[in-house]
Amino acid sequence: MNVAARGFSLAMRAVGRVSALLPDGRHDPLSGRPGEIGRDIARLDGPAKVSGGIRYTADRVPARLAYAVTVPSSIAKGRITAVDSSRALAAPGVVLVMTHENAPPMKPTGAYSTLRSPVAAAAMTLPIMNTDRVFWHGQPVAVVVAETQEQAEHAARLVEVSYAAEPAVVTMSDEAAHTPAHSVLEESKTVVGAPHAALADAAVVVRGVYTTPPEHHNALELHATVAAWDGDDLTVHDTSQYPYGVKEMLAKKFGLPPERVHVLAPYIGGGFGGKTTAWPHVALTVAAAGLAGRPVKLVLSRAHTFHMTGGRAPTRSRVTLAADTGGRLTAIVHDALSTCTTDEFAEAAIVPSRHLYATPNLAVHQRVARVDRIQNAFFRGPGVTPGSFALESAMDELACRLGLDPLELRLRNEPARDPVSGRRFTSRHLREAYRLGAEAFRWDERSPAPRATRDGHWLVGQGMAAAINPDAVLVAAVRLRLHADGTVTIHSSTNELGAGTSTAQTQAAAQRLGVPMDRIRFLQGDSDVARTRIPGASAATTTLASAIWNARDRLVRELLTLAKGTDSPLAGRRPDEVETRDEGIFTTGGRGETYWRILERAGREHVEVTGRSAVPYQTVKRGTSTYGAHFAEVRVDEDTGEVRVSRWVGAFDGGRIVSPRQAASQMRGGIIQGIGMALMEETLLDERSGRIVNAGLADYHIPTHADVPDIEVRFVDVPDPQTPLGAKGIGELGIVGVAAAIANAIHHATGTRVRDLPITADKLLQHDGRLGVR
Amino acid sequence: MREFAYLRAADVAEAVELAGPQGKYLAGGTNLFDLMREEVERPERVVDISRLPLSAIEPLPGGGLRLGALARNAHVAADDRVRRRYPVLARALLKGASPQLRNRATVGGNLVQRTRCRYFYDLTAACNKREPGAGCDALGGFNRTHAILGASPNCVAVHPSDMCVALAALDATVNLTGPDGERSVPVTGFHLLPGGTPHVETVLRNGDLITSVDLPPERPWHGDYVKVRDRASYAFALVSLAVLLDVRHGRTVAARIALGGVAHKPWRAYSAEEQLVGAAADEAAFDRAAAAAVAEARPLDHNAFKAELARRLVRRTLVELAGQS
Ligand SMILES: Cc1cc2nc3c(=O)[nH]c(=O)nc-3n(C[C@H](O)[C@H](O)[C@H](O)COP(=O)(O)OP(=O)(O)OC[C@H]3O[C@@H](n4cnc5c(N)ncnc54)[C@H](O)[C@@H]3O)c2cc1C
Ligand code: SF4
Repeated sequence: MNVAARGFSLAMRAVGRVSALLPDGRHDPLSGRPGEIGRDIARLDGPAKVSGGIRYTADRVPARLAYAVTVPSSIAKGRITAVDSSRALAAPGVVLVMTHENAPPMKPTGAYSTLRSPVAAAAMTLPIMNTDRVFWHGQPVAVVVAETQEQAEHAARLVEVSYAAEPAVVTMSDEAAHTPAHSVLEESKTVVGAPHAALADAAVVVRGVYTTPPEHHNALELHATVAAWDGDDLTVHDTSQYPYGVKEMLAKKFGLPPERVHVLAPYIGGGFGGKTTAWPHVALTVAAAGLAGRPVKLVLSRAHTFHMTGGRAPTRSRVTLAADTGGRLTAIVHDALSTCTTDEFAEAAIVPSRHLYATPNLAVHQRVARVDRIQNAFFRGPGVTPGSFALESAMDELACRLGLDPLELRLRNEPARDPVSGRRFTSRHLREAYRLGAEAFRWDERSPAPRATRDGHWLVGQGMAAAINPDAVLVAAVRLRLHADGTVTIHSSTNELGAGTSTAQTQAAAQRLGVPMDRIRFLQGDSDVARTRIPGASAATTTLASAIWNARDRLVRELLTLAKGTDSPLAGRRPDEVETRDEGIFTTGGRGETYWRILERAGREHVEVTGRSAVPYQTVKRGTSTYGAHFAEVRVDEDTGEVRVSRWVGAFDGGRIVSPRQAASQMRGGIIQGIGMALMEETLLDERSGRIVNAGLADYHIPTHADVPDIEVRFVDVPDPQTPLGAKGIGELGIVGVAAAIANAIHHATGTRVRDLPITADKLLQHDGRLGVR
Repeated sequence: MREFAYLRAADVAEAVELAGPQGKYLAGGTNLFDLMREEVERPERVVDISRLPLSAIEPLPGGGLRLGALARNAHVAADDRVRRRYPVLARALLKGASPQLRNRATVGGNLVQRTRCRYFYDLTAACNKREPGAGCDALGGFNRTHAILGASPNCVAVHPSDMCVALAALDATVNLTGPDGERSVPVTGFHLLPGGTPHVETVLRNGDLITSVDLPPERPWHGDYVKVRDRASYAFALVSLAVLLDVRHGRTVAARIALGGVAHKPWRAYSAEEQLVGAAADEAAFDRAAAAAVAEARPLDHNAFKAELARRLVRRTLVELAGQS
């Protein structure tokens, strides 16, 4: 292990020791109570979205707008020796061509991807367009600004760039690997007990190598930035999952006081982690707008999304499981490798192996190999998603070896405490999720033997897998304003990724304040509202709920102060004596009055408070995760190797479910993305050039409707006693385990085990060097 | 996209004249526009033929059916006569692209659409089809979707169409009008193998315009079109297959087998057909035919599975069709 990794381990252990002394989290009085929370309602912004009533970033057309298109590098590593912009500049409508020769200096910032620098949301530290160096194939090496999008596209092809190429490394190898400083904020190497001795003594051992390819998020909405300077004031609309981070990054890069930078991103058309960090084009658009002296819009084409924004790094996992004859695990050994760049972020496949099963002996070790590719990104369930393919496939192999039902094997290894830290859980209802899912799927009707069911030339099989995703409350603040007419406006600098956050928060706030939902306006995506650190959607629900809870408490205090010394029935009451309900404040004895009455008496137009999310020490003290179980049925054509997913049940423990329809949609979306990962998604990079060759949706396949069966979603829906609302973040959970459930079902259908994603027809046909399936 | 002259023709003769040897016809635009936006194709003149009166589907004297060159793929697939008498064609069309694309795509455009080889679209890659003499990056690159039959060291691309595979099995005829008048070519001779000139893909020359495609009179076939792809819908074929079979009293009287996704053109498996005609319609004969269909296959690094896939598909489809006879 290197110094950074060792330092990180020591720090984590110290945090663990101190946090054990902390008190538990404050119990949220709302967490078990019926009301708006948990009511099955449709998404509040749905009608506006489907009728075109919402303006996304690319829809913005400020006056005097010019259009920018980036030019990608055509080598993977080396130096730009010359740029000839003359033909581009002479093309119709061209305003300017920006290259490293004339771009304004942009100060390098820390990379958010390393999770060491939370301050600025930059995807990488590399000084793109302030250097003649080329770091990956497809790196922006010039930006063309023109009067129209078409003119910019055309002129971009006329920019002639000459290079001195150097040999590039684009594939990962053991030789070049090292241990990263951390693995998604956990240590990269952990040993518990004596795993290797346990392997030697074990009754049963299974070993497998599991690989997942690079993948791209492919959110429906393309990345877009619209930048406008007004003197030293900068306004940017950006498709960012993290507007506050973009604001900080731009302030730093352009040497501006943060208050002069305003970033707006109210609505995002999907992010999946790909819009968490700001890719180079964001700052380049701002720079180009500065040079042009007018607003500039840049929308990355689908192809450029592949070249200029990162995706999930490939992973290779070696998993060894040992068990006694009763199916109790005696050792888990998981060695994983993935790629990284100079800004080291590990797609840490080892994560689920640390937390999912009870075992006395465990060794996990994550390594990364540096490659000359674009910085890899967060992607729904970083680490856990590819890691669960490995672990949950291996568990299935172990069940087969033991002759044990795969569900039963998991039940026998359900831990009472976190297997590595020994910490208790805030709550863990995975057993209940297994039960709910198995019942809905009728798992007990499954025949144990593989290749037992056929329907014509279709072989039919069922498989299952567990899901786990770490949960956290992060930092957010909201500005809550109570108006004289009793309505409420809540501003948050988080944004709506399309997950239904605003609907869920409106439900929660309605119940928290005792106000009907239609009297609440929930506004998002403005960096100037408050400091926010929630780049990931999974944390939005609980973090915002915590901030709104805090805002409610402050509001009550404010209002009781206003009532003090008046004829109000609330005069002289303390906050702990009152409740917020029925559009006002009331004592348990039923005395009190409405919000508008308090404001009216005080002659106030409104009262405004800021609420901040609580420091979530309970999640440091205890293990907090969300859990789930997938049950899948597949049909495999025995002649062609084609796989169709025919049935799905997912059952999840995400604590209390705030907005059931939104939550179920999130899980469905995750499962569909997981079907893509299992069967078709793969970013293909030509090793000779370092270029992505399937940079488009005609070649990079994602599931179509015909690939998706009816998906039944169940929730355990038991509040977590330690989290706001009793809820947990579930945005990423749905995809975790899906690929393994499908691989396991395919094995059950055919007897063929494919350990390399995606599982395409040719892999089933050519398995193990023999022509297979039949 | 580059600047180009956009011309609209009033009739067929004017279209041919306007196009000249270098012009490009614009029909549905679903392939041409993509290629122009990527600057893979850089025509100076684009002649819009979409308003010409070439969309009709009409009976031919003697029992065949004429498909106008501008008849939309969706329209042809939904035509009652096509569905009843040439179901293999309707099925092939419906397995292609997406409903939106089929609403735009035309018979003529579908015939002339170009390969989906990724290196063909990538201007930084070496591609003999795009730039004769440049080399072929698919040979040492990703060639899982490429040809196993009839390829040359100059090009291993496949023709992507589903419709054309059915037309090849039906022995359809393509009617053309060129500067020297009208002529007809069998669809099986319309597309060319790559040889030393992979940029020459069809027999079209000097602004030849496809005016229609003739389907011969129907025969008492049992037929089917099957397609294997990487997802359930909206994907090009890894391997596809059109089979027409006429079995009487246990003997195969006539058989047509055409494969898609395996060659630079829709691939008629004549040797497989020879194995069947006149022989007993039994599994042994079907096995022989299936083996013959891929006997000449020369797989590349990543596409050996295609030969086995094609063999299994041919065999299974023959068994199923014989069962219907
Ligand atoms: C995402 C996507 C998926 C697809 N999937 C499939 C699939 O699964 N299966 C499949 O078979 N196809 C598929 N296609 C291809 C589609 O079928 C073709 O793009 C379409 O058939 C082309 O027809 P068009 O009328 O739009 O041609 P255009 O784009 O207008 O023209 C294509 C070419 O034909 C020439 N041309 C057109 N008409 C004539 C004429 N009358 N005479 C001479 N030359 C002419 C044009 O000059 C041009 O070179 C797909 C396309 C896309 C974009
Ligand atoms: S296979 Fe043909 S189209 Fe593809 S790169 Fe080679 S020459 Fe070009």
